[in-house]
Amino acid sequence: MNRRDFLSFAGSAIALSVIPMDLSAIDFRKSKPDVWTAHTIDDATKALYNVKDVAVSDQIKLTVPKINSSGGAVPVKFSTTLDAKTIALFQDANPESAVAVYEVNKYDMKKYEAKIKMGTSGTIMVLVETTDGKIYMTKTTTEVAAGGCEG
Amino acid sequence: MAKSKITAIKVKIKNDIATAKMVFSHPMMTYNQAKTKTGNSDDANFITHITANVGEEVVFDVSTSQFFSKNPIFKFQFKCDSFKIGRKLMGREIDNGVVIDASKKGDLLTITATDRKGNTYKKSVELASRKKKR
Repeated sequence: MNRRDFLSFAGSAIALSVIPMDLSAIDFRKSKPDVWTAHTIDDATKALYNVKDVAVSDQIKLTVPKINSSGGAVPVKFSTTLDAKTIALFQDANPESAVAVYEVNKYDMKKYEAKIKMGTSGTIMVLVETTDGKIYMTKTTTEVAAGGCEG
Repeated sequence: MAKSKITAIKVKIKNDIATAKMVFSHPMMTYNQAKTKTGNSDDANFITHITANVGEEVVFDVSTSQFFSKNPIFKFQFKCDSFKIGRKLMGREIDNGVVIDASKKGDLLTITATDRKGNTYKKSVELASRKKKR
């Protein structure tokens, strides 16, 4: 699917420059609702990128502590040198798998940090959709001493 | 409960790359947490979309979920060589009442975030650097 089709599929979620408040491009929560209700990484991957069995790429880096004392704030650092169009962050330690979908722009250095909730120990995966339509990933596991969904 | 907001945006500029850190004050309440707390999972509220722009240029865009931590912090980097970078005043200068002329101020980095209940949060910070050569 080329970018024009992809953008027109997103439809009303696309920003109009006449409305200064709404400068977002694709709101994946609206354009791909099934991603956010998927319970497994495989289902979320299928819903977002329509693929399964994604190849690993060493051009995606993902850093997470081996052990976390609390699952409420697991620090995740990830970056990629791939020519990325979108980047997804998934895990299998919560009721649903999708944490975030980043849409890359021409200024973006594709290097991010954030803290996420992990209800249990588990796997965190970063997937990258490249501009030529291929999907790659890297993943790591992390341990959580106490679950994170109690807030 | 404190009102949700973008608490702070900090930007560091080095070698034409800006590293931005944004801190939110937001409960990021999951459906499960809402169910436990109020009995109604529809009371869940969490940030669902964040965009950062300089003028009309988008420099960061993410669709997010209930699985970011409470009072979440996000960090990202973007190339800023095509934007106007102002000069950050030193503490001593600020104490002495030095003021940068408006025409020399840097472009604004604006963060716009929306949550599940439709609340919008917006905050801007000037792109500025202490160094003469940014």
